[in-house]
Amino acid sequence: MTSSHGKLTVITADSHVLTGCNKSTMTRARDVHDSTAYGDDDYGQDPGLGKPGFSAAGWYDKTATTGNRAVLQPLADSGDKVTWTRKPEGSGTGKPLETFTGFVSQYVEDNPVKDIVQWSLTVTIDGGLVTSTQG
Amino acid sequence: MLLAGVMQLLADQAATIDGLRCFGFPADSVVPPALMVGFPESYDFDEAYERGMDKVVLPLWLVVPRTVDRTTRDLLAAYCDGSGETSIKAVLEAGTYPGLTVNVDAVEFDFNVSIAAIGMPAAKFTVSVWGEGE
Repeated sequence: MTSSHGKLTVITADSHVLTGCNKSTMTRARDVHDSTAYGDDDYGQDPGLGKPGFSAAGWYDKTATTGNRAVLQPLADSGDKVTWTRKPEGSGTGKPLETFTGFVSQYVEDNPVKDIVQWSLTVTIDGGLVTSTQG
Repeated sequence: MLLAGVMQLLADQAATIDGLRCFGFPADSVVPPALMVGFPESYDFDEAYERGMDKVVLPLWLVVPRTVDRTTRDLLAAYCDGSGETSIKAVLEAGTYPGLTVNVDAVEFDFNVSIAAIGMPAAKFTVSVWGEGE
């Protein structure tokens, strides 16, 4: 087995790298249709439409123009659909690349008194994931 | 952030307090009142993707002359207050540290810290520093 460390992950939103990001989750989900019929002893279930989801979190970056507040808050306020990319094994030729279009459906800034400020977000994906490899 | 640079930055900022001798390393001997930046209690790498953030927690030892009376108390207390011209917390957190976030988390006391075989009243400040990994 050859594992990959999470620290290598790269996330971009509208071409901006999400600096300070320390957690992200990509979910590949699909609707399930009940196809159970009279006489069946067990439920019958069929796959429906795909419904991927994405969320991320990290440390607040107050850099004026490139920090995550400068990038993410406008996206949350506007609801604009933008292109997101995820490099689950980091940057490098031949490594996987996932691309999707989505909008920020929730953006949270968390200010604990004993720690530095953190953010988290949920992206609602419009359409599916495009999986490829990095050139 | 680079450790030696961070330790020296904190010492240099503390040295803006009038009359306080500051060292960005654990010195063998000092003349109190003095402040020394100790080696980290913890140094956490990879707090964010792509070396985006490291966190280091440093002890800062502040010693004052041993005179067992109100003078020692008043001198040490002024360094440990949360505000004022000699407040370690206020002065360190007022500093400018490009790319770094600095917070003075806590202070503890030890009435007999030995430096060069001389016992001195001391305060140990715990300082957290966050910065991009290098």
